[in-house]
Amino acid sequence: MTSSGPCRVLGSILVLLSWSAAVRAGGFSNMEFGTRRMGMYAVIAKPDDATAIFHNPAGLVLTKGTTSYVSMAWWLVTAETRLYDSEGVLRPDENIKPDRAQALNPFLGFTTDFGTKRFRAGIAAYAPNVFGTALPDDAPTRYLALDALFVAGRFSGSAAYQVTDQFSVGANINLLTMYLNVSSMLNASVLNDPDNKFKDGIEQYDGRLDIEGVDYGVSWDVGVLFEPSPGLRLGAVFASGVPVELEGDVTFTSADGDVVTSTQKTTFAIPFTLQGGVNYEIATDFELAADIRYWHYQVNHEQRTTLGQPIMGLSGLVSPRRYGNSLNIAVGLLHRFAPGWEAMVGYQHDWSPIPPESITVDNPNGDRHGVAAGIRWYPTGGIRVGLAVVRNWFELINNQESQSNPPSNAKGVGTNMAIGFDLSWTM
Amino acid sequence: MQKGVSAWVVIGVAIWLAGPAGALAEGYLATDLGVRRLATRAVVAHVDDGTAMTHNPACLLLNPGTTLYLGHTASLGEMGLRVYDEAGKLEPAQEISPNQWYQHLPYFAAASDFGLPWLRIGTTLHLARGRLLEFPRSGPSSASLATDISWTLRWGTVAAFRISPKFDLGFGVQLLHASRNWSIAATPANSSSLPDEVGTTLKREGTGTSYNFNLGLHFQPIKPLELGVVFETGTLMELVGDVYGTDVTHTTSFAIPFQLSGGARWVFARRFALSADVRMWHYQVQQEERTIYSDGYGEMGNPKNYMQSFAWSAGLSYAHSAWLEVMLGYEQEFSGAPESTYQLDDPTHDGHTVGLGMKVGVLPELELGVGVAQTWFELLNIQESALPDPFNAKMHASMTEVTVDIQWTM
Repeated sequence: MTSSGPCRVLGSILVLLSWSAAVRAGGFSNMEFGTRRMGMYAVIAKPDDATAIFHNPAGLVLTKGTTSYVSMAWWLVTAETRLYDSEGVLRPDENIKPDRAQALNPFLGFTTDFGTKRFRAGIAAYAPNVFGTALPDDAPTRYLALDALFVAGRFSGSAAYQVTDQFSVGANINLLTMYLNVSSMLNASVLNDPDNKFKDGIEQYDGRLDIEGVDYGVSWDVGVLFEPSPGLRLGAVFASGVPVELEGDVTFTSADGDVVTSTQKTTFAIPFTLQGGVNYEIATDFELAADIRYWHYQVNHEQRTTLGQPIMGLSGLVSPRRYGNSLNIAVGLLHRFAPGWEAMVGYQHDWSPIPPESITVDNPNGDRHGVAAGIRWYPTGGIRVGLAVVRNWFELINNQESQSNPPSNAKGVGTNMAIGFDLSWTM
Repeated sequence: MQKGVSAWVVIGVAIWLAGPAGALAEGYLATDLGVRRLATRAVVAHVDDGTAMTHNPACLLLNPGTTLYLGHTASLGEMGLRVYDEAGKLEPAQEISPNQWYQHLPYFAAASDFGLPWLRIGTTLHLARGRLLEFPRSGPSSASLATDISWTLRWGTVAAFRISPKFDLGFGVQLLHASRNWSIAATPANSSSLPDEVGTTLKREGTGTSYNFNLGLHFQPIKPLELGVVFETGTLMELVGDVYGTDVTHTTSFAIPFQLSGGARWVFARRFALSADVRMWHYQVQQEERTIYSDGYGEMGNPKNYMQSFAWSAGLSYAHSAWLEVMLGYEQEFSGAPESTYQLDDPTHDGHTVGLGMKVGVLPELELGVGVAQTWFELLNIQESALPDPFNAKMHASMTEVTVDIQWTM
């Protein structure tokens, strides 16, 4: 390893830790909670179940009685990529695909009106971000990532009050927990010359880098809901940001079995979010809705990592992120096609905050667009079940100015698909 | 004019106009099918003939009873190009034009409600691509393309259901069979790994079969307003065939992208309807067309580097009476093909289209239609070709399309 080896090792650590800061194309949280969101995307102006705790706490006033609610979205992610070598040639000949890449979004919530007309309260435990992937251990991408697991969970307490018949307000307090576990191969020869990752026989000199991190935090949200005229609803939400410090172990196992351990602390910011929505009953049994969400991702301009025990003389590194802001727009249509039945469709476009030079193969989040469809059924007065499917396509990733080491210069396409269900029981 | 006479005049004019014809302005699978599409350009929210099975399967519910539909779209392309030499000078002095550039797209469909107001089942058999493009076999354009005979037959079956009086849903499955016979001048970049028997022209033929699905929704929240949404899946097509003059076979694979469409139609005044569509083709999946040769003769990548393709359109229709409807429309398309990988085998580019047409109810159960559309492509001025055999050229092109159709309701 050359004299710049330590910096390159830390560069690899930072590439892996970028998982925690940008595992989403839009905001930090995955928003697919509830059939209304998954079926028609646009939900902020009329979140009519317990997922209002996440989408717009003021929407809790749309619930009645005491309700138990559970939902689950299951994501399958597909990606195909090839890496550029230093000559600008795409290698290998065949696309590299993850062995597996999946995500989950569970939600469990309870709401109640305490027998009042204007007051609602709710609690919910949910995971806006549970994502795991495994890349082939014999592909050149192993120097960027092998396995990754990221879990972000939230526990929210929520209250809402209908101030007038046309105006409601709600607020949340959220406890956050985050866990990250990522690994990759490390090879001095590849660090010195990234083109070596395409050579056969180099794997015998591979070492393995494992990184772990965990943190807790608190955030808050406030939302409002207006109904200026019958059939027209407007919603707005502010969700606070929160600073994050992921702390955990770093373990490097060399090719000959030597183990070097340290600890790391990585800081970055989850940005605040502004959200607005409109829901309009354009005709009997039809709702047309639109949402816009904005994430102030420009606060994530750098990611700072410090090591508990220095590795090869270095105790920390600052990595530029240069994130821009992120935006999501969505439109949806809901139709009550029969008594107790609702069908929904929606479209969304999401602009990623990640600049092309910061996109990595293990975290190929670019701009995306998606379509959604869902159905809800009220079999009895107090029970409602829903089923929805979402399909997103990422814009082509063609990164030729990667800042990571080894470089993540790559060309690839990616998609994801989610199937979700929910069950609401009003007592 | 009597109805019978008017029908024969329409058919006669249409056949005369159809003569030579053809070409493709949209995605790999043609969408210029049927008079309503050709004339108004916007059909996703309302298409009331057999082409509903292609444009929006949910709209099949707009056709009651049992219907037979027969249509034909014919197109004629015009192109002029000159090629830049290494000094940046355009050659030759006279523009190069294709000897032939036309397309024919026959369309047959049959559908029935089986006496049920909430159900339609239909089947369609048509060419989704049927193109002949031939350039001079020698000269500076022949390294990009000499000849290309390409056709794709699509057989589809559709089921559509009326979920509520305001909501229809349709689903279709299509079998695709593609055939292509094409040649280009043999160069070191495309033929060095092949036997000498290839000669001066690399000529290949291949056929392949695949399938895809489409799903359509049709909403009518209020009587004057219709909304439509369609998703059609993409598929991978592998053409397997021979390299002429040799014992080598090849497998050439390319992607047909998925298509997403949305549309609205609003009857804003008595007899007048305004319609608009937005379409997106996910062409970014087409980054490379790859040919693998048999017997260890290697493989060849043909870079495409496509991005997304997008089109919007708006149309107006006027129902003069129960038996006559006239239509016109406009469409703008943004091609997914970048200039740096532009090749003559896919001669499409950003373009503008205007359409005009009419439908005539000759009898209560018989409707005839004729439409014409003209497309003008934006000027192409390629000076940074990234192809192994660079194709730097300046060119212009346009296309004329004519459609005739007839629908009989039993």
